[in-house]
Amino acid sequence: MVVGKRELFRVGPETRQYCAVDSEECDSVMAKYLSSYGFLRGALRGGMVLSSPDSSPELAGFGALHLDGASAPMPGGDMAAGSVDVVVARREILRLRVTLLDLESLFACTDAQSGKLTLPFIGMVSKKCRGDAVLGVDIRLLRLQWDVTGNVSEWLSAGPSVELLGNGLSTAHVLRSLVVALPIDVQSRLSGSAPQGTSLGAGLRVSALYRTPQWESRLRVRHRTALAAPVGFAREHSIDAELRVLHNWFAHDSVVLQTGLSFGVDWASYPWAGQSLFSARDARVGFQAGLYVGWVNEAPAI
Amino acid sequence: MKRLRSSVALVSACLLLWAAGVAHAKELDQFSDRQRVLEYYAGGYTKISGAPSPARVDEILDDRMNALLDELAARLAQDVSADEAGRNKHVRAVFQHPILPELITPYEEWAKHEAPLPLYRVRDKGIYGHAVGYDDMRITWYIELSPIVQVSGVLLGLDKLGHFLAQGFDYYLYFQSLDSKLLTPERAARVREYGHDGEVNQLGLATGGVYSMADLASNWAGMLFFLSLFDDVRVEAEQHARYFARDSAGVFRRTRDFRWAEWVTADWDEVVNPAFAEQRTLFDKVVQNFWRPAGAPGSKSPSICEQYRRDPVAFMGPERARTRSRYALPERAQQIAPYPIDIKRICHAFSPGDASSQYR
Repeated sequence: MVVGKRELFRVGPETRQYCAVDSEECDSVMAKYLSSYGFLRGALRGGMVLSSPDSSPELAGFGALHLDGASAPMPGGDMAAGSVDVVVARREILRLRVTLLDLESLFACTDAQSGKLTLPFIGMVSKKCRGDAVLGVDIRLLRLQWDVTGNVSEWLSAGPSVELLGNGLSTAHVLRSLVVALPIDVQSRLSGSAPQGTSLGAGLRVSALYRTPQWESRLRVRHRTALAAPVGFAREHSIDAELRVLHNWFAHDSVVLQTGLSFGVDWASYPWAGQSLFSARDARVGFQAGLYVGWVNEAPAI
Repeated sequence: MKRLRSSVALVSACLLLWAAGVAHAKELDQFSDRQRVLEYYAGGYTKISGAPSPARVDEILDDRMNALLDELAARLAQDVSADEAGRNKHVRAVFQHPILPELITPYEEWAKHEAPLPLYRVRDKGIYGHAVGYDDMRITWYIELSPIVQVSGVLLGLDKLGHFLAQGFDYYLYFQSLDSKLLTPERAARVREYGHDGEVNQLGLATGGVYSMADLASNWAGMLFFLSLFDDVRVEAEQHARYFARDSAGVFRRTRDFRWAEWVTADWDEVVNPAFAEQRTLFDKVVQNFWRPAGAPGSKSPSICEQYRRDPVAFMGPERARTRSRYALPERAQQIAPYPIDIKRICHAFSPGDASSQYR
């Protein structure tokens, strides 16, 4: 019982130490943390990047920070707003990326009561959606990137996504997921030594998640081809892939830490065409491997 | 710049929709730790320095409502010629949220964040915690339970005050929109249908899987309150005198004080007036939680049912009057949501480990 911030009395002790007592409860609480909304969640990464400029591979250390102003990796879709990525490497890479809004696999909702199809997100917060959604959308709005090769602005990226496991809008989706998305984007390169101008791109995203929930592995592969670009039709390609293997654990009653390893690889048809955070400025091929420490703080009371 | 503005507008719209969703998806557990809350109001507060007494809680809540009525009077004094629509505009400005009137209630927000009220917050989602998950309660699973307060001798969720003013005003507008040739009982019957549809398709079942009779009771009382602002009102068995009357100069003057005691009944208490679960799976998990030891995992503290069975009368709390009018369609509710979260039935029909297999 509280009056303002003053606690009058409390019944029982704090109770988030489920994992020491009951594994089923622990799973439930962990799944809730990992799939709920929150502010200022993020991750730190550090490791090595190996890039291949011309023919001589070069190794460098890197550190990276990812921070979401607000995020909600919920059963109805993975949402983030106000995201910042910073990558610093000993050489080759210094990159800042800011994303206004990033929505992945936001599922259309079939109202279990009426059977009608409802818009993504709106359905999730206002309807009793069936937990077998397949079709969703990816929408990314305004992603700005600054690095030594110049500035790139992605104005919009949008396209359909399909959950192959057919478990969208259910708890199962935040534990197991296999998604294929086909986004189309508009990007502009506004400065730097690379060819400047606006390009229309199309691509493919394949994401897989397996979570226990104490352990999780994520694989993400992205491809982009610039259909209309300053260098010509379908001559600019990039592919990047990343695998994360993480252990989720309560560091505190209200904070789950995600610790583990991440591995990535990227390739681009031109050195400046890479879409990965870790693409080197003068290399077409790169690898990265490192430690990953993410934090998921408890959802604030609403 | 224009593009940036559009982007910001889109993000804001999304956040508003988010707020909209979560605001009306709030659930309530009045079973967990109920005896401790009752003990507080029965005299436990005297042992805590500076803790508000039940009378003080009522006074704080009443004073705020009277201040709002005075604000309404001041607005009306500036707009003497206002017709019914004009008066409704002023009522809306005083009591409703400017953007999301049916979802966020300024008075409830004040009570929750600013008023020096003792609010009991059930931890770890209470009866809706443990095995209950997103698949059972949808978006409501992510939202904290409404805190509990005693008003006029009745334990209730703070959300009921919001229902009284927000959904009550919505009911009132619907009542006013009905053909004036209809007799009051016919209009009341249509409002009950309206409330039932809202609980099924928008508020209760749609987002949380639970049909709350107590919500409907407070909605109904809110409608009567708004009806009685400028006219004496009699709807079925209930009668209320007006709050405002015109003086000789044609200006509305407040003629009486607001008291929550006039409106709050035992029907607002979800232990006395049980809600209904739609799905058997959710109900089974709630039943398990009724029998789960209270407190931390591994605790030996008595479960809700053990506490109830030890002294059912004390658990229910002081006897209070029930609403005299019909505010809901319980038979219709039970057709859609057939599992009452009724402590008397749950704790007598089951024993630990039986789950709900014996429930009929």
